[in-house]
Amino acid sequence: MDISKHLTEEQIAFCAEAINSGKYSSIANNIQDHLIQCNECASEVVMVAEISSEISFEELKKKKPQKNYKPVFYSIAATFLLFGTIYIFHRHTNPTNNVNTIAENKSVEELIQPMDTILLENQVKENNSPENPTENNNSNNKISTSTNQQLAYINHPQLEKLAQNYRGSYRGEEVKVITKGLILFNKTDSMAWQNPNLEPLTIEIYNNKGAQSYSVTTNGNSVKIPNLQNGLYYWKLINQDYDLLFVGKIEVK
Amino acid sequence: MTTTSNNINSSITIEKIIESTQIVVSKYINRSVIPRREKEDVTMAIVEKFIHQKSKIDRSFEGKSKITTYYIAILNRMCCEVIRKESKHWYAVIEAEESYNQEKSTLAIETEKHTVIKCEVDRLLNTLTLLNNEKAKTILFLKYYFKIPIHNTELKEYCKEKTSEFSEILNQNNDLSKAELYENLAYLTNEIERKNIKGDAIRMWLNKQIDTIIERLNMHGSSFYNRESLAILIEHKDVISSNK
Repeated sequence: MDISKHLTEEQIAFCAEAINSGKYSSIANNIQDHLIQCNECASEVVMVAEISSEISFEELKKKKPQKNYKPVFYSIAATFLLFGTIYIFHRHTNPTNNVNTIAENKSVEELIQPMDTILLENQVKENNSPENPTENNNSNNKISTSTNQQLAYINHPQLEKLAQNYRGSYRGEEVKVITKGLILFNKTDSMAWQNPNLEPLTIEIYNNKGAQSYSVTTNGNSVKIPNLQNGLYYWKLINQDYDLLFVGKIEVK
Repeated sequence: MTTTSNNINSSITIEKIIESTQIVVSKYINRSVIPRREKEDVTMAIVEKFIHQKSKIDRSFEGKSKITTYYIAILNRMCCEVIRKESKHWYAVIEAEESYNQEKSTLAIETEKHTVIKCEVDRLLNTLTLLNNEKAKTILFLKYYFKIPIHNTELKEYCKEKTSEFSEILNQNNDLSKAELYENLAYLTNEIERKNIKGDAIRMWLNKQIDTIIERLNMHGSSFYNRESLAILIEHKDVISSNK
């Protein structure tokens, strides 16, 4: 920096800040030398230091008093405690969650069966035990038959959620699904949609355990529902970009 | 630089610029540089000019200081420019309202006396800070010259390890003539700085320092200090410091 030239506004500001923070001695020597000689710049620095310290003080005064976060903290802690208590209570009372205790008495093969199946079995047990105590007295065979039948119609949680989301709506811009959300299959039904551009569409059918039972790709406007065992199924309509256009339900009785 | 400019635009509102301008202008009004009646006009003239040049101002900003301090430096410079241009017109009619202002300022000083003195002491300290390596020496010599009691810390800052040696000499200056004062200070300088100068050199140096400080404090007519009032201000420095 040319020592004979006046300081720029930014240099003035920088020096003023250095004075206010007590770090004036740390700024560049040529600036310090200039300020020793130049009364005009020195008085400017002093004035800016004074005004800026005043403005900072005004801003501090204007700042709102700090909020007391203690009540918020206590309410959050109380909420967590409440949910924790409910969760623990739920774990102890709901048999569906006692997977670990069930697992202790089961073989390795049984243990590696899908979690869905365990959940479904537990749901059936839940349905049977508290409300129908008389049925619990039936023979083991009878229980297993009815259990299997009921198992086939129990909702798959994730697919059910998807089907609910797509009820009455579809995501494609061109493809419009005609079929209702739930098909009560009578061996002749089809899954139908409008596909004006004849784009390739994939139809996948899943059972209520989430396992794929059927898959087909078509350019058409419908696919006939294949022969399926009694139970609840879900069908997905997917376009060539792998966009999920629709999820519907099929109930085979 | 673009990012800095964008940040500036988003963080500093026009209201804040007007507010800062008002504070800058008020500083000069309180020192009777700008007549109170001109406050609105001067503020608006500065704000208008600032807004007109804002993009250029923002482009010049390199982020070395806080943007608010940078804006204050610019607003202060603009204010000084207005004072230079317009002060002749203001002084033509200023006598008419002088009595009103005097009454009001006396009242204001009475009520805010402590704040005003503290503000002036801060200005003095900042002015002394800019003397850099000569700050400690200047404070010590001024106090000795104006016969104000010298604190041990002030002595220590200049004399370092020889503090005790000079403590007694420097605190016995009440009956001394100006020539004797300068001679003592020359002796001190020679001992501390290992020089060989005489009292006259100290007289010239000290006069230069006093003139510099007074000129800087009075810049743009912001105050009207002379040697006597500077001595009073230096005395107040100790009062303010002891109250802290």
